Amino acid sequence: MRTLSFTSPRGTRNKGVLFEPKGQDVSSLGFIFLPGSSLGTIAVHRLGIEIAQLLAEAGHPVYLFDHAGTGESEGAQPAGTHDSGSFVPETLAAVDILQKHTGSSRTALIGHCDGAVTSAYAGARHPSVKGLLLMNLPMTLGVAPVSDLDDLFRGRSHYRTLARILGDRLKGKGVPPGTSNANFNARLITDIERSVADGKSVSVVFGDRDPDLPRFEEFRVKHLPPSLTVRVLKDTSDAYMTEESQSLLFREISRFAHGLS
Amino acid sequence: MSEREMEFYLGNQYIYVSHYESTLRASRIPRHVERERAFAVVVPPLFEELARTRRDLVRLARELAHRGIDVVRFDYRGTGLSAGVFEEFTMEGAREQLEEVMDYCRDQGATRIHLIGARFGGYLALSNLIFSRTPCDNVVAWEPTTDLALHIEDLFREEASSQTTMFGFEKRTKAEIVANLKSSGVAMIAGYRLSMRAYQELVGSPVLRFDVLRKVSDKFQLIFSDGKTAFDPAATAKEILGDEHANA
Repeated sequence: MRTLSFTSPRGTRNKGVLFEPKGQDVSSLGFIFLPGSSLGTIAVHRLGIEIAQLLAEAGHPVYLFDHAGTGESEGAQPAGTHDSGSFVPETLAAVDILQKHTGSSRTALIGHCDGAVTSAYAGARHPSVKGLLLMNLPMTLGVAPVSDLDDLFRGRSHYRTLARILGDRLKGKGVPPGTSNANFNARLITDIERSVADGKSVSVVFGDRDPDLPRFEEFRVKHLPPSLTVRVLKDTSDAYMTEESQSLLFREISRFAHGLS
Repeated sequence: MSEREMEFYLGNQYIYVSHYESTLRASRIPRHVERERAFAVVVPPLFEELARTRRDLVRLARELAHRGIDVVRFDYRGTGLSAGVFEEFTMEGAREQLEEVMDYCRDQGATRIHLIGARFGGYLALSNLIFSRTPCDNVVAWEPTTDLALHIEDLFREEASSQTTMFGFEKRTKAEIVANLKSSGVAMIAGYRLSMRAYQELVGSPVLRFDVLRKVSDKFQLIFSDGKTAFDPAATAKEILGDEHANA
């Protein structure tokens, strides 16, 4: 592995590390892992590092980087959140950097939690991103009319989604009790749909002990393309803290990579 | 200030090192720094504390570099951005890597080396001050761990909490995990694959007791957070450098 930095579209210096396969044919498919929290690349017991090592051993170059204002990178964090797409420009730049430095022609994004949201957004926008593995998508699902109108006026939603929500309501498809009425992430839906329509391989991974899984299942049935691949891993939380859950995750990632190669 | 990352090789092992070079104009360098070329080495925490403090330590390094101190950060083998997996981490390796980084500082012209150790890094830094044959000049210990056996207990507590959250009960007890560690040489605890060697080293490490620390009390300072105030790298840098150089 070696350090590799780039200047983001905002002018900040983003730092990262590149894992390059050694002593074997290097795949034309590179990977970028996007961590979930604002703690950077090494968070969640170095899950990203271990995934990178796994993929590099299989012949794929992998790039991990810290968003501005996190980890090693310079500058302040972009205003906004992963939901608002604030981290997309850097991610798109990272795809270009990976391809430039490794000669890979195709890229797959693996995102964990909030990183999965950014992966979905960025993946829909870069033509050479061919695959998305979205781990533990955070569920911000809301169908309260007031908040939907608020989202609409703030540009966070759109008429088609509202029509669908209202239609579901009229048909009696209620929201499960306890579902958050926070802002409804319409962009996530449209970007996943777009990637699927563009022929990109999109998979979602959840653990069966992830508290967001029930809401995701509801979300998926109502809003996501039926062709989406979803895997639910046994006895696994969203942090992959056990030997068994990591093993299941790594197997899933290997399967995903093999399917794309 | 310029920053450069580099790779250090200890034998064929790679560790991540980042050097924040001070380019402060000579007239603005604090007098006590100017006379000598002071370097600070940030000795990092372990486990998830490494990720949680990383940004603050990076900001502190940059702040100190702006004030005339070259700062070097590194990650132990198998942690952070260094190569390897966590089961390769050992106490002996961590001490060796710290000494290697200190040697790098001396090669870069350091005449004084200050260690800034956070949590486990505080233990390692204080240990270097007390026990090393080529010790640092002083230590700033940020909420240091003084008993590594208790530090490992925190990891077991986190494991128990995680299991209870997931399964509703503790599926693997500490006793079972330690037994597995002994029989297989490695065990996963709270997401970290800890080797038997590292476990034995950590639990067997001497406690840094008051009577030992008192002998070097003029060479270290302790920093504790109040748990309410957000981290302020500028204020912390001023605290470390001393009031008379607060406006450097």
